[in-house]
Amino acid sequence: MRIAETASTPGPAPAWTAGKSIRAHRIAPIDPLSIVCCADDVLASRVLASLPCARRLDHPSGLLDAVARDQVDIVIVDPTVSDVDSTNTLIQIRRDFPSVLVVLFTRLQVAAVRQLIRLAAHGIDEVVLLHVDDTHTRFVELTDRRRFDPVSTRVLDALAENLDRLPSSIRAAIVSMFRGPRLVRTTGELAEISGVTKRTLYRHLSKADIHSPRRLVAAGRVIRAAVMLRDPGRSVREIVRRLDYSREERFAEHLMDVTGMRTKELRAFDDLEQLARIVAGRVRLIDGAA
Amino acid sequence: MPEMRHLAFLHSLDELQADSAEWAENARAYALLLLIERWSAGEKQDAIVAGLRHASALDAGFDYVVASKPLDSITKILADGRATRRRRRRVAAGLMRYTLHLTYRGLTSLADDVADATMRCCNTHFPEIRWRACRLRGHFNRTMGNLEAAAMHFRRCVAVGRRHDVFEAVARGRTGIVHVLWSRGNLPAAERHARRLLALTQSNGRRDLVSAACHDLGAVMCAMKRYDEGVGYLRGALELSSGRQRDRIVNDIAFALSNRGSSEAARRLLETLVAIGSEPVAVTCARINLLQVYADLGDRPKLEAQRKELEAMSLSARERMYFHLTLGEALITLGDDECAIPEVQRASELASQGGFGQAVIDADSAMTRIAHATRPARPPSTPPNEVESNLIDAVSRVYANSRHEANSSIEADANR
Repeated sequence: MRIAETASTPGPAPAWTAGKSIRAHRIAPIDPLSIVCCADDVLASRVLASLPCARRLDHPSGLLDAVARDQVDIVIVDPTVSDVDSTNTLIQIRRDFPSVLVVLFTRLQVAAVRQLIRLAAHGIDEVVLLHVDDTHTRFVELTDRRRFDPVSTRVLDALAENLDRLPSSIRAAIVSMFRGPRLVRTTGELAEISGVTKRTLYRHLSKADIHSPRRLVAAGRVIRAAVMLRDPGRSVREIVRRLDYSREERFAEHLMDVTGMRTKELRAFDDLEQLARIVAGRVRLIDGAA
Repeated sequence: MPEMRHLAFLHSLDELQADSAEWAENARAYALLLLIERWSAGEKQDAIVAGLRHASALDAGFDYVVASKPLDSITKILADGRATRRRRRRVAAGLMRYTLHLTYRGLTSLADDVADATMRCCNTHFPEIRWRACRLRGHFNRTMGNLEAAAMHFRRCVAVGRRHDVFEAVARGRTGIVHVLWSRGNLPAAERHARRLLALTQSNGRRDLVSAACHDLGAVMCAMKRYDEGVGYLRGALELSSGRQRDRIVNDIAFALSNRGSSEAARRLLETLVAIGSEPVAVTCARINLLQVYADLGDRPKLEAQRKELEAMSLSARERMYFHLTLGEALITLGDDECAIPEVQRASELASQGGFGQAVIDADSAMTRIAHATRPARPPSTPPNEVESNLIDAVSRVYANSRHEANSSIEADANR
C-alpha cells in the first residue's frame, strides 16, 4: 500500500529557475513517493512527523521485499537496528536497486559509526543524525533529491534556454511534470495544469523552440524509466507497471521516440549527460523529424 | 561514486576510544559541520539552535577539550542568527582556524575535511579565506599521496589569486606546484618552476615569499644532488626567514650537509632542530634524517633509539614512506642488508601507492645497491670545516634571535 505524500512539501527550485516566481505547489500536485522507514520508535516518529506518507517496517528483513515488490523510492534506515541484517540488506539494495535513495538516519554513537563507514564504502552517502540535522527541511530536501533524479535535472538544464522563454505557469508545470511524470500523460493534461488551453500551450512551446510537446510529455516518464532501468534488480514489466503504461509495446515506442534507443540499449547506456542531451535535442525537434 | 560527507571524521571516531575526550571533541566537530551545512542552506534558526545544543552536549562532560575554542566560536556565530554574508565570513574564518588547529596536531585527513567545508562555506566569496583553504587542501593531499588532487587545489589557489589580484595566493599556489612536481620525481620541471617563482617573488619584494622561493629552489637542487648550489640558496632563505619556515630550512640545510659528507655538522643541526624546533613537520623530517646521519657516523644505538621514537609516532603517508626509505638506506650504509630489504620494499610499496615518483626511483636504486652488494657512494664523514661552522653559527644565531624576539614579546605583553 502506498500513501500519497502531502503536497505541502515543494522543494527548492532547480538551479535554472533560481529567482523566478514558480508556484508549482499551487498549480500541480506532486507525484507521490513511496518511502519506507525502518528504525526504532524515536527515530521513526521523527521521520513520520516530516514525511507522513512514509511506511514503517519493524525489521530490516522486510526491506528488500518492499523495495522489489512495492517500487519503493526512498528507504530511511537506522543501520544499528539489527546491525548485520540492515547493513547487508542496504548493501544489496544499493547494488540491485541503485535508483532507490538510501538514507541512514541514526544517533551519533559508537555502534553507528562503524556501520556508516561500511555503508559509505558501498556508495551510500546520505546520513541524517538524530537531534542534529533531522529537520523537516532536511527530509523534504531528500525527497527532492529523489524526485530530481540526475537525468531529469540534466534535461531541464539542457532545456533551460527554451524554458526561460515560456510563461512562468507553463514552465512550472513542466518542472512539476518532470518531478512527477505519472501525473501528466498527455499534452491536454499539461495544458490543464498550466492553466492554458492546449492551443495556447502549443503556441508558447513553439515560440520557445520546443516543437514536439507530445515528446516533451513522454520525456518525463521515459526519463524516470531510464533511471529505473539502471537497477539490475528491476524488470521491464515492473517499470511499465510503475509508470502506468498500458502495454510494454507502448512503453517501447515512447522509449524509441524520446531517446532513439531500445530497452536493452538504454539499460546499458551509462552516460547520463549524453542521454540528457539526446532527450533535450529530440524534444526540440518537430514531430516525425527524429 | 558519491562520498559520504565528512567521512574522515567518521573514520577518526571509529579509531578513537569511545569515552575519550578526543572522541567527544570529534563527535561535536562532526555534528557542527553538518549543522553548518544546514545553516548555510537556510535552515530555520530554532532548528539550528536545537542542533547546536545537542552538539555542544557531546563534549560537555569533559573538562579539557583541545579544540573547544575554535568550535565554541563557530557555535556562537551559528547561534547568533541566520546565514548573512558577514556571519558566513566569520564561520569560514572559524573553520580555517580549526583547520590549522587540526594541522598542527598532525590530523591531516580531518584538516582536509574541514578545509573542504571552509571552501564550501565561502562558496564564491571571501577570496582571502578561499585561497588559503585551497592551498591547505593542496598541501594535505600531497601529504596523503593524492598528487593529482594536490595539483588541482594548488592551481585553484593560483586562479583565485589571479582573479582577485592577491600576489601571495599566486606565489603560494605556485610553490605548491613545485612541491607536486618534486614529489612526482620531475626534478628538472620542479627546478624550472622554482626559478620562475623566485624571479616572480623578487620582483614583488616580499621577504617571506622570497625566502620561501629561495628555500624551494635550494631544496630542489639538493634533491638533484647539486648540494653546494642548494646550500647557497638555503642560506639565503634562512637569512630572510621567520617563524616556522626557519625549522624547515634548517632541516634542508642539514640534509644537504649530510649528503655532502658533513655528517657531524648535519647531526648538530638536526639535534638542535629536534630539541627546539616548533614546526612538527620539520621536526619529524629532522628525526627521519637523523637515521641516515647516525648511520653515516656508525652510531647504531642512536639510530635504533630514533627508529623506536619514529615508530611510536603518528606519521602521514608521505612521512611513513620516507621513514622506511631512509631507514632502509641507513641500514644499507651500516651493512645490514637483511634488515634493510623489508624497509626498502615497504617504502617502495608506499611510494607506488602514493604516486611519489622520486621515492620510487630512490627505493629502486637502494634495492639495486643491495642486489649488487654495493655500499652507497657517500663521502667519508669529516668534522665541520670553516664554512660549515659558519653555517652552524648562523643557524644558532637565527634561533637565538627568534628566542630573544619571543621573550621580548612576552615581556611586552606582561608589561602591557
